[in-house]
Amino acid sequence: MPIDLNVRISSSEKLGEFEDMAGRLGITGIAPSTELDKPIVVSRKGLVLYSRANLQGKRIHSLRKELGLLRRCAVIVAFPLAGMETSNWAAEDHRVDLLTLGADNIGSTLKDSTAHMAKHSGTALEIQFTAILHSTGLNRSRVLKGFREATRTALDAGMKIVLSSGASHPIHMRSPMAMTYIGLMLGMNRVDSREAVLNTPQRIVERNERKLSSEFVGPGVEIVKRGRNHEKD
Amino acid sequence: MKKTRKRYLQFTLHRNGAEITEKQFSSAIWSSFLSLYGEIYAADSKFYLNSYDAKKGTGILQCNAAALEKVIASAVMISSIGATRVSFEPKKVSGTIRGLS
Repeated sequence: MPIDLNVRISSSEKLGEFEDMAGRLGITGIAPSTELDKPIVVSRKGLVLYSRANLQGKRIHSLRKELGLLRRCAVIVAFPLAGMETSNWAAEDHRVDLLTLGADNIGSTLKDSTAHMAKHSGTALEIQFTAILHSTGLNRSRVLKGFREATRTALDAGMKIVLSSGASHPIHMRSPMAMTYIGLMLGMNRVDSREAVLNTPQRIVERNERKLSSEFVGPGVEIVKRGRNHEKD
Repeated sequence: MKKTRKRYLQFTLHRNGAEITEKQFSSAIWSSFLSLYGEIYAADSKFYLNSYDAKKGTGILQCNAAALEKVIASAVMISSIGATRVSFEPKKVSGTIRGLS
């Protein structure tokens, strides 16, 4: 079940075009950054839309507040790699799913220590490859350098990686097979690349679907069966 | 001279605009390959566009087995050809053309 965890749809009218393209490419789910009525919505064409929230705060205090509000209503919570302090906080917090590296923060670097923390909390590194599509020459070289270095750091630390498009136009989306070749270009092997495109996004979505369900109580505690109200004799 | 192993790739070129000719598409792959991997790898790739249907956007390309990953990555990285925005989708890889059908 291939899922693109980052699609930038500017308005709900454009959703149809993304649905068509996803269908043609064999993508079954997308996480648009636009607001959805519910955390998980199935469109008329059968595409599953997962709500995604990008943390905007600049300081840890405001980020904590924001995260508390968003976690219960979004399937995917992402934080763009930025300063060391905030990146470490996001990497350590198990409620944050993705540390994002894309066109907006291409100069940011993933530190070894951050990657190790992320490994333990289950936070994955998200690489948005449209930054490569939109750049040329020396700029593209810089983008590739940033992505390849972050990929190597994440792999060395055992941190999970997610490859997503970050597409603002349907034609910028790529098929799952095409995305695995982008992974190879970024320095992953075949297994890691397939994992980054197919398995890791699905696992993150499944984990959060469980958390958002009414049966979830806390990590490791779920309601498996509801009994009738106990009546006093 | 040592014989190199070939690979054939079936693909679809999705587009948002005017048709892309075989020549335009082939040149776009060459220039993307040159930009990403340089002249030495491009020379060794033995890339060749076997068949291409401009209307449907489907076709088969061939290259050296060792260069396959690089050829596909170069094609995937093409975002537009002329004024037409495109998305390259690799479909199936085989050692023979027959294997693709």
